[in-house]
Amino acid sequence: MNAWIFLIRSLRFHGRSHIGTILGACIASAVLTGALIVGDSVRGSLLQMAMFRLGQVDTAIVGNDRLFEQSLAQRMQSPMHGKVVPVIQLPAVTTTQGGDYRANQSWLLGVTEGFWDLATEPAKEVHPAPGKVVLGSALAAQLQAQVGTRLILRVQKPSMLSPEAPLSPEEGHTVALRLEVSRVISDAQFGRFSLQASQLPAMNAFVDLATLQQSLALGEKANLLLLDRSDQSTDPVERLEAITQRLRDQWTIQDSQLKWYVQEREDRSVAEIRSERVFLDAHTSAALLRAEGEGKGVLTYFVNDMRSGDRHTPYSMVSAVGDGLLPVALGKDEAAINQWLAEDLELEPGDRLKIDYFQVGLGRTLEEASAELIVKAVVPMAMPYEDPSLMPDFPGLKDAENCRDWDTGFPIDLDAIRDQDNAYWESYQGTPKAFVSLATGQALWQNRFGDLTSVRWSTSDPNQEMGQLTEYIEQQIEKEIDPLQLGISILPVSQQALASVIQSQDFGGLFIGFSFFLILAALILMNLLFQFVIEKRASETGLLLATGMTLKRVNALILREGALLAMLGSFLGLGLAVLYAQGMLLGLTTLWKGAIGTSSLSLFVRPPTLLSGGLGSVVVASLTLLFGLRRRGAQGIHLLLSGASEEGATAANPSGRARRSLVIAGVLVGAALIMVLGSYNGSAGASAAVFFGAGALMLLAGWFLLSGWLLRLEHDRIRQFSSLIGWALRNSARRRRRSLATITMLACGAFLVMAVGANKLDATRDASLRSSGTGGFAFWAESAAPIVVDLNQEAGLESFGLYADELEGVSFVPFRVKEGEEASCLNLNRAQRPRIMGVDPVDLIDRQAFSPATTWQQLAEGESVWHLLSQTLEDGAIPGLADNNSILWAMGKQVGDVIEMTDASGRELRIRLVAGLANSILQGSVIIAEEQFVNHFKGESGYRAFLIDAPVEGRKAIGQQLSRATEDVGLTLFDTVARMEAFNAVQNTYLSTFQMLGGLGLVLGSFGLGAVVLRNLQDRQKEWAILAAIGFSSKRLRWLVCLEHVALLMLGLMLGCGSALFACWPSLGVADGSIPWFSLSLILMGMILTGLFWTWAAARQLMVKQLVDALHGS
Amino acid sequence: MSLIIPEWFHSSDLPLGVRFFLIQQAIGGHDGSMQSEEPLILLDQVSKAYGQVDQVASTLVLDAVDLSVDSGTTTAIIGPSGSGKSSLLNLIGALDQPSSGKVTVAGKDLAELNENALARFRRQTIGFVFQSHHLLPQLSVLENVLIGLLSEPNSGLQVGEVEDRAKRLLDRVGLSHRLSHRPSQLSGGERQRVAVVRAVLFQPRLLLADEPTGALDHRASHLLANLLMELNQEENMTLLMVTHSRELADLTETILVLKGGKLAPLPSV
Repeated sequence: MNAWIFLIRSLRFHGRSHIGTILGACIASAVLTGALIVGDSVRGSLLQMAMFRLGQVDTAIVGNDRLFEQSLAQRMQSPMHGKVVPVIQLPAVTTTQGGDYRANQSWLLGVTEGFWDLATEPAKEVHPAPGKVVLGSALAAQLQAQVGTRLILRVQKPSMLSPEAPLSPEEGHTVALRLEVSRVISDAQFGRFSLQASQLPAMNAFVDLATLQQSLALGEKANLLLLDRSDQSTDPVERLEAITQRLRDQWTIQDSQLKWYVQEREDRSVAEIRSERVFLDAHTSAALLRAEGEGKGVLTYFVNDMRSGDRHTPYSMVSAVGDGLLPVALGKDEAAINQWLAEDLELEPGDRLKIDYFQVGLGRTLEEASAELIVKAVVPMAMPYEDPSLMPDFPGLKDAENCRDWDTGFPIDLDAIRDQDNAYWESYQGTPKAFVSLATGQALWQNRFGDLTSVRWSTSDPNQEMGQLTEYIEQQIEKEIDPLQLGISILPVSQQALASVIQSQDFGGLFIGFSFFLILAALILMNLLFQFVIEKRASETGLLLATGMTLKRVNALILREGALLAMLGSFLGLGLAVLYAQGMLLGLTTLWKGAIGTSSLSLFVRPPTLLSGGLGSVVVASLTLLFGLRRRGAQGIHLLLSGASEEGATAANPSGRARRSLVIAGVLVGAALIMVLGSYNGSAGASAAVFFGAGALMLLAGWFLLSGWLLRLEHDRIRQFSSLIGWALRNSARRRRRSLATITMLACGAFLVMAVGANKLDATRDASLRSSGTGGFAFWAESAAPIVVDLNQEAGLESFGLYADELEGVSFVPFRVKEGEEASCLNLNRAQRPRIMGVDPVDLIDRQAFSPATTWQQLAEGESVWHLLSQTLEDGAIPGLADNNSILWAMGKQVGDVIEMTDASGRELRIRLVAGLANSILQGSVIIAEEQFVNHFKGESGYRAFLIDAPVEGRKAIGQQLSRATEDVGLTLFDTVARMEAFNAVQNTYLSTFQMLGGLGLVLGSFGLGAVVLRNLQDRQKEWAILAAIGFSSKRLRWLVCLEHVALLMLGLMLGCGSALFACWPSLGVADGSIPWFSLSLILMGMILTGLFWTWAAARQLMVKQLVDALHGS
Repeated sequence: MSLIIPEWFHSSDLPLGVRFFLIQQAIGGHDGSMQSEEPLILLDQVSKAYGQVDQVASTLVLDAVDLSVDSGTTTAIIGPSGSGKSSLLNLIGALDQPSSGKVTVAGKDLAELNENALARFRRQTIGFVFQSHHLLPQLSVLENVLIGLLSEPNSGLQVGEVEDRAKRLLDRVGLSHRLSHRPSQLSGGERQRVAVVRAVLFQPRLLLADEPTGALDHRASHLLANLLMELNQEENMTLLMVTHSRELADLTETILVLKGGKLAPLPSV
């Protein structure tokens, strides 16, 4: 005889009684393990999506706003990266030919056949022929497109000159491609190719690279290189370093969009480097000037007017030239003018010349400025002064034969152009009329696009071959230019994808949280049913104690038995766990789609998860049983031997304990009241904490109150005997712990259901207020192509065919956008490169839009959260802010943390999160001041996102009008309330999930109530029998049983609901807090009905005849 | 220090190992000396009330009871229902605590023992026979007898030896053919005999029997009564029982009457 034999004998003998315990453990295990499987499945699905979107791509070299030679792909090939494919990737607006369907946020990718080899399922045969387009399944679904469908794809032509640069023409940026769908490809065939981690598939259209290059007149250029991972052995960091080094080694001046122009003149040879981007950026300029051979910088600028006294010469080129390039030496504020200008303005050396010109502001804004120069010399209309090649290739100017053909992108007063001006252009084209020193010119005209328009080398040595010189200089330059400083990015996309999945939202934990009450209810039920069995075996406990066993050892034996049951139940639950997980995934992809926005989640069952879930369930269930046993006191052995369970025992000093319970309840109510009153400051964040804090205190208070009341009821025996209800109540008090467990289970469930309902977010509430999550704006808009005009100006509106008087009361807050990953709750992946937006803080300060949830530093009196963006931080970081939820959950950071990244010039950019906005439509991005944005992301032209104010009346018509007018740039307008609802849907869906699973827990809880009723009936069979014997009818006995247990049901629900309502009180005063009374009433009604059903079903077991038989038997 | 080896050590059919174990336990528990010269049971002004003493509803069942029982004797306590006989037995067997007074058994003041010591005391000193047999339904006859082995798994007892003794005792009470039967397969008398064997397996110094024949018919009662008396002789254990049965009480050396919470010798007729 040993403990194991005892255990096996007991388990076998009491097997049937243990079914309930096993079932409880089984449910707890199924829910717990199922939640973990959901976590695995979401992560597994994200990983699968990452594999589909990247295939075998390891690293991407992204041109951002730059184009490089397609041949760079061949040059980048190495043993480490056997396959390197060039791609042009452009945002596009895709419509079906009839315009019935549209996808504003789609991508057009020009690819080679080699591209398809990198897909998870390589398939070269899908490569589109010229004139054809291949669609990813997501885009095909959006457009309802099939093979043969004709589409129009509008893309922003990658411009050599920034569309925001001075002299960049307004027109001609958009190109429309008419193509026929040749195939719709699956995700595994690269249908969802994207460099950005998101569970939402990218809307991709693929065309042949050469065809696209031809359509966009780009030559053999690309803006993206994809490198495969042929060599997996190297360390990722080393691999990245090797790629960076190879890129630097293989980078040519052609990749930098630089070109040689060589002129053979009578007395000398001149070689010049110009940029296809017109302006030479600071890094390139410096590199060129550092190269050996004494290159001279040139900055040629278009000025609006040159005047002296009352004489004017409109629209002229002025060149700033480096020392030595021209024979005349110019000092600060000195100018040399050509003979033509001298005559036109009647100027002589020593006279003063005034110049009016445009300075480049933010966006395309131009501010007219003036400078006064002293005429140092008048130079002849001959070389080297009469040199039209000093004017760079300004698009819209270089091919114009007449001044009236100019397309400059900024307003030209054609009336001001005189005949002689036109004659000058016809004779000398863009030959500068004046010259200043390079220092003077750069001080006046240097802008964010560059500080030079060319660098020149010249030689008068007849023995020196210009070809050799340029070759030599080119080698020097290529050593000096760093592609990363030009804005080229090298992204370890494979590593980033893995990190974004690993750090993604832990759905396992989330669903354990959601299932908390269900697990708790299962555990309580399991414990309750196990306790029933143990109570039934009270005399066995008594015997073991009487034979000399300690209570500890008896409990250890019982626990061992319970643990074995828990183990059995837990492992049986593993099968159910898979079904539970499948159910949850089905819910996530259908009913709760709002939380994840995708329907492509697959079930992933990992044996380690099953094992850990099973073991975890065993541990949790065993601990629960241990907790239950821990409360078993050393009751009189003689009582146990007589078969009396511990619950029936008389509590020591009941009145004292009852008094103590009531006092504790009073203190807890007081604490809850203080908490609620003290926190009544209107902050939503605080009210959530107060809700749960005060709610928990009230639940505890209720527990103590009821415990004290039941104690008093039990021992104050005389008074309650007068009515059936009184008697029923006193009977409830007889098994105090059992009654309290039932009440607690129901109260917790009711509290959670109420809590969830009360914390659902309502986007419509206060939506018109500036302080709300919508900022009081009517629309949020995003465009596929940047909008470079100012939509708050008449001219800007007119460029889209809109008129200010039609849009009265409409105003725009534009945002610059540096594309990155959506850093909001809508992205299940952890954003590795969050999207950055730049805004002029003044626009939002004036409107006092949005509210902070938390700030890094205290806001000064009258200061708005947007003021923080303009401050200068001591550590050199730039201030940024984001939605507080995005900061916490999507980025995994806190306010005050620093986001480190590389800017477009390859410099380290540190953005300190100085504030978190309260739940708002600005989720998903990090927002910095526009000035900082322009400084760090020079290549990102124009505005791609807008907050739009519009009067309430006619808002819909305004939205439609704006959408129609901006079709070419693919501006998509979102109603701000709808956008807020989309964000809220995530939280609300989670809450619904929580509520539904909590509801299931309550069903289990009410089942527990039924079990309690049955157990009580069994325990008190003799009592019922005697009552029957003295004349109680079955009906009356059932009434008594029902009254007794319905009292428990109602007390539980009242305690839970009461506590929740008390705790809700402060949240009713803040934004978004409201109680959905109707749905809550339905749930509560359901709970009451379920509880009544179980009580009634159990009470129906009470049959007088059987009772009397039992009495005879006993 | 002189060590008096008790007679039962030589006469008992307990395995030698068990006998040494019991001797060691007895020495260890009593300041190193045997207490055989003192009364085995000594009750001094013991009272027992149920319910809160300060409350009207409380019931005094034992009222300042004094009792002294010598080792090796047989004593019966008789009295009407509700007179507190079982309560008295529960106090002596350390199954319950007195409301006041002092209970000393085998030289130990039970009030001074903590839970573990009380358990050890019950294991080593007391054997119980209840009116209801309290056999565990899931165990066989032999396993029910051996249930005490679970009390202290690492006690040093040789399980095999204990099992042999259990079988001998069951043979002694005529149940050798029922070793693997379940209690539900036994008659009332057989169940009670199993309970007696379980109580005497480790040869306790004191056998407490609470209405041991209460649930048995006349013949079974007679057999059980004889068995108890024989065991008293053979195992040299003190027998204290409470009973309604005058016939059973007459078999004992001393008969005491409990009435109105007071204990008194049986008045001579």
